[in-house]
Amino acid sequence: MYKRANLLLLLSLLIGTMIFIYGCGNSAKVEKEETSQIKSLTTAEIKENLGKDNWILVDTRSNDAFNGWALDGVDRGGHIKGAVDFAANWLKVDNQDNQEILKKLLEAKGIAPTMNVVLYDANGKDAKEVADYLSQNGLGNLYYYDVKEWAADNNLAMESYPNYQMLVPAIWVNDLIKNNNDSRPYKIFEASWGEESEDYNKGHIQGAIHINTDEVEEGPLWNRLPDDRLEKFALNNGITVDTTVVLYGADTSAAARVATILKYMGVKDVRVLNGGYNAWVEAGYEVETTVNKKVKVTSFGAKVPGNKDYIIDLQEAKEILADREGSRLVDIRSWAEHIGETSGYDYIEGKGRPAGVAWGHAGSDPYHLEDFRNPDNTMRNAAEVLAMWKDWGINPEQRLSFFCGTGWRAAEVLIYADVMGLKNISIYDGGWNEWSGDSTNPIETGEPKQQ
Amino acid sequence: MNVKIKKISSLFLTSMQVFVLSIVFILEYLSNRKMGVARYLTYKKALYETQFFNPDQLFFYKLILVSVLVISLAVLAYSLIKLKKSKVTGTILIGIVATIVLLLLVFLKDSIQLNAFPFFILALVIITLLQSFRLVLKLIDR
Repeated sequence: MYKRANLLLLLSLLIGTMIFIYGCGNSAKVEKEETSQIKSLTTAEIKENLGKDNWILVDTRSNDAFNGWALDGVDRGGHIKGAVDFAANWLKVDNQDNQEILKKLLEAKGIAPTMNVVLYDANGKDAKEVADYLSQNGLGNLYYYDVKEWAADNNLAMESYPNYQMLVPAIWVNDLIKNNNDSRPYKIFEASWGEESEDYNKGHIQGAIHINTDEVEEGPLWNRLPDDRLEKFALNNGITVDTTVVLYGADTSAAARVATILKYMGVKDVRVLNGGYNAWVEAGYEVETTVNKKVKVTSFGAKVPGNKDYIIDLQEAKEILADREGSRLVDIRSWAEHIGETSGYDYIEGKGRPAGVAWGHAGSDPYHLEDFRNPDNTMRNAAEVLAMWKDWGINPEQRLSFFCGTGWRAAEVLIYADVMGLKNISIYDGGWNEWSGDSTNPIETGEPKQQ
Repeated sequence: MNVKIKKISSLFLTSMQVFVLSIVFILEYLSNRKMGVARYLTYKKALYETQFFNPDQLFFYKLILVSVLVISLAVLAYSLIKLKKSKVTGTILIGIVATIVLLLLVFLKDSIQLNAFPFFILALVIITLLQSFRLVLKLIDR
């Protein structure tokens, strides 16, 4: 009797286990099938529905592809005109607030459950990752499209930023190193503060040399060095007017600061790694810890500055403020700094803003720039930036000069504005540090009226 | 003065001197490691240069320091010859050393390159004042 009971128990266990395994496998299979069963649309269907209120086209590729780089085998770079971006890369960002940030982005971009959402990519993977994320967040009307088809037809509108090449993807930098820039001179620099950089020492791009931002600016105003000393800096770092210079850092604003100064000096080909050092690491490329020595050159090759209008000083800033119709001085600081709640810095006493400036947005505090960056620290969508500025009376047709406390945040925004193709742009080097240091300069505090 | 009180007050004065000097060295160390500290010290240096360390003021400080040094050396000589009190001698010696270091800071052009330069000056002035106070106490107690 016991033998029979044991046999029965064993049999029930076996059957139960089989049912369990089959059930789980099946639900995974169903999940997989559900994902891969997102309907693919044809180019004709895309054309038919593009522009309709209840349809939204979402580019799930990297920000570099969205900006203009022809990656993953597409014939043309850039994004389908009218598409919004929601990169698969953003889903993998290691940040405890990432889920909340992504949800806010979905809302801001209009990717809602009521919409028919067309997800496109070029590698067959990005769209599926985003589709999985969206379906987990309650979006059901999802479609897939292979953008290679659209890119192959020159009659179909694609948009890329006029100067997208200024902001480079990691793959471009890797190719530059592998091909030795086709024997043309190039340098890769890691830009951060300090003689010794912890970021650099922990690991850097092969061949990269550390630039201490104190090599290009000095206190107490933290303006760029005089032109003769900037030339010495260039010679010391092996930079000539014809050198292709690639700048990056853990903090892109440091790289952007050096980039704007090099462009001001006249270096013809200055590039910034989009997304910073993290973009290189995420791409899986080699890092090294060897400290690479600077190799000097004897001549810069041109008179400094070659592009003097790229950086302006106090007098020009005042001229811009006086020209209310044709120009704007744009405050790239946090709201709290703009309204005078805080100066933002231990070493700047004054609080407020120069009278007559427009608030250009920045981030949550002096060390962040969320309003201009995606979750993976790549450049924010230009259409969104311009819409944000339009709400605050900043017209891209005007002469725009950006400033912040001492020039780092404004430098990054200047580079993005340049990438977007804005003409007549500059950075006001002295910024709030200089302006607030002279009590004769007019100041405002409090909340301004949105224009 | 009660021996215990003397010891406590001596310990307190020494601790204050060590604390003040340590803070300044820590600031100088951090100024090469932290951008925020470096910029803050640069700002303070620029501020104090106009308020307390302009060329006229620096000349005045040099005069005072040289006078203090001369007086200290005279007191040291007096204490060695007349008083023969080793504890007082030691106190005066420390004061002299602090004065000499201050003089070097003020005279040497390279010292102004120190990021925490104004704070070094301040720290050494505090140390010298505390040392003078300690000397007065010892003289009273004698």
